[in-house]
Amino acid sequence: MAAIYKNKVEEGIRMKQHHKVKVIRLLLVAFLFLTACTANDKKTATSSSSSSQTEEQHLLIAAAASLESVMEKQIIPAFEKEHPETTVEGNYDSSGKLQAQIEKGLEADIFFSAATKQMDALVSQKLIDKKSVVPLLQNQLVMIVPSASEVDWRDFSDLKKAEMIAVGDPASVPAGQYAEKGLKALGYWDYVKNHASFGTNVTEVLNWVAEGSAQAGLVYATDAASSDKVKVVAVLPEDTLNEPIIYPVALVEKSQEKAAAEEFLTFLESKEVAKYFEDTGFIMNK
Amino acid sequence: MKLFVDIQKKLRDHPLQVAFEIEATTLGILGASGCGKSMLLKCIAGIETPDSGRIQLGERVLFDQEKGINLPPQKRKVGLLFQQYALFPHLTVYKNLSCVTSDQGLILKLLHMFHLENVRNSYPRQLSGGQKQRVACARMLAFEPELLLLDEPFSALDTALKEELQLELHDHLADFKGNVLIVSHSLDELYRLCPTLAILTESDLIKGNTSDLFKQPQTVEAARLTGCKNIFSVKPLDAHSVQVDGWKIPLSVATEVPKDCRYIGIRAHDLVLDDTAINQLDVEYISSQQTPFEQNAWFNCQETNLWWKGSKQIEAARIKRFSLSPEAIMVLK
Amino acid sequence: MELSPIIISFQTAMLSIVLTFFSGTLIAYFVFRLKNHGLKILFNSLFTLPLVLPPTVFGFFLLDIFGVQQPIGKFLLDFFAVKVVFSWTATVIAAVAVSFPLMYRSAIAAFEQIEPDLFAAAQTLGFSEKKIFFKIALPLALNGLLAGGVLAFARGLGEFGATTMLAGNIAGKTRTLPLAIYSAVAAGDWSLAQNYVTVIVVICLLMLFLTELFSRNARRRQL
Repeated sequence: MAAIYKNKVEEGIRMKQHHKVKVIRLLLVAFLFLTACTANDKKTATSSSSSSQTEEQHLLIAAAASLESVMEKQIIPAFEKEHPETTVEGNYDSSGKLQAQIEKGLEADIFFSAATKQMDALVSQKLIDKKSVVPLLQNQLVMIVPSASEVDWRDFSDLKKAEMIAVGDPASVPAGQYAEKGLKALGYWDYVKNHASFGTNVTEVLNWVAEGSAQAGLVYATDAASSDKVKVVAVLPEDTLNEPIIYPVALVEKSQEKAAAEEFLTFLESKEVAKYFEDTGFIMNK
Repeated sequence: MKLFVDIQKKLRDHPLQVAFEIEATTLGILGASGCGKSMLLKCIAGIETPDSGRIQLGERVLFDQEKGINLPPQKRKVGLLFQQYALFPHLTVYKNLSCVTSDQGLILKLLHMFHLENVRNSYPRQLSGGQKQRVACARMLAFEPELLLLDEPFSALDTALKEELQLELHDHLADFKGNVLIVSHSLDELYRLCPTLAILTESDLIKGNTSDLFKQPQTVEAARLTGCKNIFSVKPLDAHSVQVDGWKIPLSVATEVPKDCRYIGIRAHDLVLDDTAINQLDVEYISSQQTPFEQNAWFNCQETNLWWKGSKQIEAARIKRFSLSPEAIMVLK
Repeated sequence: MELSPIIISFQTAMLSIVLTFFSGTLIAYFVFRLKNHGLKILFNSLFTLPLVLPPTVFGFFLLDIFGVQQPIGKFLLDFFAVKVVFSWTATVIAAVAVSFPLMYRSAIAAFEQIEPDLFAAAQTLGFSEKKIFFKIALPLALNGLLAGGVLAFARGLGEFGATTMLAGNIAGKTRTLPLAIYSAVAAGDWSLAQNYVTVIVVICLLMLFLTELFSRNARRRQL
């Protein structure tokens, strides 16, 4: 009798395990089925977009990091609204890195640099047609400190009060190059160089100051305006630089979407967009 | 030194409930697989904790759930021999012993006692099964425990070696002054090595003298565990006779038959071929099967299957009648 | 070629591997010996988490702790004049933080492959937990621990995202090899980048070679 009971219990346990296995198998099948379905959906979506290729266009804009906010939040949405058949994608980084990427074959349609150096380099390599270059914007270099800082900051000479200064890497970041030029003219570069943390893009520099890791830093006026965790102490005088800080924009020669890209460039020079730029702290270059 | 064990622990299928007391003896523990024999040893050694109860060795309380006593294994002085020996693979035989005790004299004595002198610098992976078992025993004794627990000590060895080692172990155990518990499912081992036996069934634990228990296992389950092949449900007729359900003739039983007796057991070897006994059973041959040293055969006796074990010299197909002595019938609950 | 990134990276990697190896092994052993399964799962998830986070995100967390505007960072600055951010110490912290989970998981796996009965046997033979660790667990897990150490070392040496967040990119102080390589690439100085890459590869090969030697010895003494 005990044996019969034992058998029944064993059977019950076996059935439970069997049931568990069944449920697991069912879940696996359901999961595979769902992923197959969604994969199919993606396929049909892309196939439909490629079939109507004549209508839909896609632009890739390689732009300096300091342009990201105004481009993504205002300019690109405005353009896409007026040109619904075109999707615009932005790739933001230091101008030096973008230059390197375009040289290595990045399929950008438009290059929007934070300095003329990178643009000129690409022009000299015939990757950009000199005729399409538009010196669109002007920016200013400013000295910033954390908003919460209680130290008495007045001008660039106070950089000597900072133990750590955040600057863009002059080797690759235009903002860094301007900082070097300007500070050399003012006589503070030697100090700054020996107390600097070199950012590989301006956003990194901004964040370092915003977090208080560096006591001071040099960024564009537009960057400073975008964060309330930093405050501007002084503006780099224009005569310390050979030329104003120009943000040129141009068509990339290898672009497959020249028509759409030209439309975008025209759009950038419009009055509507000028307002967006000025709100962010840029100065339109006349 | 007396060992007192009374513990309860919930296992996966059913609860383990064990209570017994032994003094200066080797106790065998027989039970079905999964009934908790190994768990019992682990609880006594301290590497598992029972849900409730008490374990006491001599004057020392090892475990008492109510009083909140639970000695760590390190302090219990209880030796445990693992089924797979658990030798430290990165240490030589000598180091396996010396990491337990610094008493050089004891180590040398143990090496000698277990014939391990010429392998003292070998590693466990270089040893044979029998040698590993001896090292495990020696290491266990190196700690000078007060109680020995052997978990299926011969299950990992081949048959040829087993008997030899069983005899050796018997000699070693004779020297040991404390109690020994041996868990096994081999009837031969338990019969050879343990004068006292505890049969662990799902419902309870039956303890007694080994040979007595084999003669009278007391319960159906115990009878099965001790290898009884023929168990029949019966109706008691009077104090010394029973009637197997479905049989026409009664059986004469030597032990007293209680009024509520429902089963009897007849060992396959107890069916003999002379005409002397009072109980005579007419049978019809069904089939037989040979094993190396004896023969199994099945017969039909009044619509019941009868399992017989006997000499290979006999022609099983020719057997028409068995004789069964009243002493051989086991009265079971 | 500017040599400071090599020296900084070497110092950072050496210190962080020592810290990671010991903390990873000890903490993993502690969790391994826990009897409470719930706690085990909790600790395992906690200590593996940094592995599945992108390093920059992890850098954020570190900044949350050590940033001068955060409670702990501020406390350290005000009371001990210790600023963790933008210091060489930060490179070590970042390296340890990202390499710890690798060491931890390798160590747990190394301990788990030891025959469980050995621990029980040692206990019944009177071994204290300390003795069990040093005489049984450590020697038998050594191979796995060394393998984990190599992984952790490589991860710490190559650490970038969390490092820039916490330690900045200060030439001569916190500019490790990965940061120097990235800066060189950004500046278009491919030959400099290649030189630095060669140095990292050589260091890693050296470590692998040494570890292979060690583990072969350890294996010989084992099963």
